[in-house]
Amino acid sequence: MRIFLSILLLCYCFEADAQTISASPGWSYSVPSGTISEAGTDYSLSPVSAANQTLISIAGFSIFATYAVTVHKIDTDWNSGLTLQVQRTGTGSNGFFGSTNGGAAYISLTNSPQAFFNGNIGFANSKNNVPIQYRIQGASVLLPVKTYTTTVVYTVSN
Amino acid sequence: MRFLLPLIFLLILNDTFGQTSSVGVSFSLPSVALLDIEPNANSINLSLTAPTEAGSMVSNTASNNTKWINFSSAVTPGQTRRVSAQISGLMPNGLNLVLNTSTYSGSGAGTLGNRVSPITLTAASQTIINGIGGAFTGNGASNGYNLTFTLSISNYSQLRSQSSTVSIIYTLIDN
Repeated sequence: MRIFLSILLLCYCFEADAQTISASPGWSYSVPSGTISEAGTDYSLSPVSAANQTLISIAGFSIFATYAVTVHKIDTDWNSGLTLQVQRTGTGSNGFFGSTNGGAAYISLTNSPQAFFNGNIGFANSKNNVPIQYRIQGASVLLPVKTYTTTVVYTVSN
Repeated sequence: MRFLLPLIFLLILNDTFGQTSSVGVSFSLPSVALLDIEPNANSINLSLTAPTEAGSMVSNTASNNTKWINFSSAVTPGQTRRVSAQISGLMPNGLNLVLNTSTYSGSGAGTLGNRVSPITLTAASQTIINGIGGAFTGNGASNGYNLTFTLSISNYSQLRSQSSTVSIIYTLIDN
């Protein structure tokens, strides 16, 4: 019984609570007035956020646990002519022998979860500040003048 | 032991459920209302030709179709715009300046509107293209609406040998 309790205690040290993910902040972009300088033409821009616009941290893992992050969007008021893309621009903090794979090139978000990045947490229980960058394509004068909004959902699992 | 098994089970459960976090993304597009005349805003000259035979009328072959209207327009939902034209300056007595606006042609897209043509230009603003929504005509000559200007004699008795310069003002305006 004593051995069993010791094992359980050891597990508790490296086993954490439920995995958690935090992502913040979001991104707002307004196309400046005067972007189109020549009458008769359309926009030719694909706005890009800061390279570390959103920082993702995950926690609650056992040491050397694998993790996977998926991403999708839930539209509040979006236009199908607009494409929202995300990419991972860094690895964040890595535990010893940890790894981060995938997501280093833009992927276009849909309303269904798709694989973003994954890896091994290494000798740690968490991974912090993975930088995320956004890009929007499809801006056009053909789209109604308004503010388009969507929610980007990051999900972690192992 | 009876209490330990459920605890272990709970720890395992914790490992199997994914967790989520979300952030908002917003993207705002501004109103756009741009209009210009292509290939340039240089003057055009329209002249009546004097008759060479006594008793003949003044020859009226004066017309010019070198100018095109280009525009870019982004509007709020349900909004439309129009292009109006008016003369600034005094036309010679006895003459009218008539503007024929072609149907749209070019490499643009969107809700490009419909012409109102022909019209006799005056100092009052008149609509020449209506029902413009979100659209762009394409840039340069051969894109947009072609404009043909023609001199028309309205009163022979008022004709005098003279020259006059007027400007045409085009406005892209909300309906």
